[in-house]
Amino acid sequence: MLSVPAGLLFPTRVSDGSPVMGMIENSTIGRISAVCLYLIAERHDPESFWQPWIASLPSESDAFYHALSYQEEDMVHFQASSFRELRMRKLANLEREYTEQVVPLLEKLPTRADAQAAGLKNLTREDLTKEVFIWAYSVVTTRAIFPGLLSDKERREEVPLLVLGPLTDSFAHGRGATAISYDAVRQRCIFSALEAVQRGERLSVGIGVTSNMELLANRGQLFTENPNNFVLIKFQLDQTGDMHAAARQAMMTSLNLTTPTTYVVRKGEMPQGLLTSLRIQSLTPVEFSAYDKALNSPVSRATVSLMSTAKYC
Amino acid sequence: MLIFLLAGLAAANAADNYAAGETHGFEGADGLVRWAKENGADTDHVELVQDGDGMALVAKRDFAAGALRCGKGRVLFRVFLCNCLFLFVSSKPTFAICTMASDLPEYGPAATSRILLNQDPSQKGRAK
Repeated sequence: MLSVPAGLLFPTRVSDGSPVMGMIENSTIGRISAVCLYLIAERHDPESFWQPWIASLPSESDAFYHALSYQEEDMVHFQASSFRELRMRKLANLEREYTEQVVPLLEKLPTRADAQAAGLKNLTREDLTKEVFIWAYSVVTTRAIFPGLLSDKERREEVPLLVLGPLTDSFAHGRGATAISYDAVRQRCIFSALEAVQRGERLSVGIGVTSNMELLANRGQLFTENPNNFVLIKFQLDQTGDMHAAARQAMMTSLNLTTPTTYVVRKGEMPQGLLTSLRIQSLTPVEFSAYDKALNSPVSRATVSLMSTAKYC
Repeated sequence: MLIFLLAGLAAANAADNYAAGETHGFEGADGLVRWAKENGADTDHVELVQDGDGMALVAKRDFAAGALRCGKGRVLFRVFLCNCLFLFVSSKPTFAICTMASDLPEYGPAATSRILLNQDPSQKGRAK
């Protein structure tokens, strides 16, 4: 469907005068943060090769839709969701990354006053603010493709860990309808159709096993009908006011089931442990005496089915 | 990854003759596609359209599932060739290969070599 040369994958072709290489040398800065610094430096350089692409990116003043940019009034809608906590943790991590990893590198940049005095248009310490870093981070995380998250079917042999640049950043992120491969000889990133695509249809790449909550917190987007969505269900055996409480607890123990336990429940799959726990919790006094044998055997689909049938006979 | 990309950068810069600062006239979706094309992207089958505040990449024509770089015909020929070679070196039945050939999009050089070794491509590295 599409192929792009390595030279159109950011951060190749960075400006000759980019200070980033010197800044990150011998530092422990992460890959994503390093790409963010390259992006900030290229945006600052009007002569950058990347200007046509960078001009198409949203600016800090635009609503750039990353969850990190949400205001308090936006977060009101997430009152009962753990998304609020996840976002706060994400924001705190990013601020720590800026403070601990980026700020120490700023010493390698000139101050604005020094740059002006020398008649230079270089990136200065004052240009690399936390807000600018968050902007760059949101651009990278919302627009890049991370082939490492994809299934083997969607990722063929050796591919870059991050694919970012013009055109490739305009794929919809959701349905894994595209395979990515890299031709090392021709130095091209190649995108092939995994599913039939009709003319005019939006092209889409996968997101890996990522739920909508993680997507929203990490990439600022949602995927309609995301099969990886999940809910957390906490099970706790009711051990009060029931003469069979001890028996229920013994059954749970014999089946290596602990209480309380939080289960991750995804669409179309119910954890066996949760099903079993719920069944043990719902056993009636009659079932305790009549189906002792069944209960003493390991819980399986057959024994659970037997008990369910017997209950309604 | 950075090293990987920077290695690409060195190669790209060496062969690259774009004019620094040439950033005008590439505004909007069409401009961006034209710029990408001028810099080596194969954009013949896709289109960039304005989608609200952003841009969306859409198909310019229909694509079949499993559209491969080298085309189905070449893959079929390669599988046919492998089948002949296999028949030549082995007297075992080739039903397995016929079954595997139905799953063409999965075929690549590695799978082909595994066919020659009479291995199931789905079981990487595990000889029968």
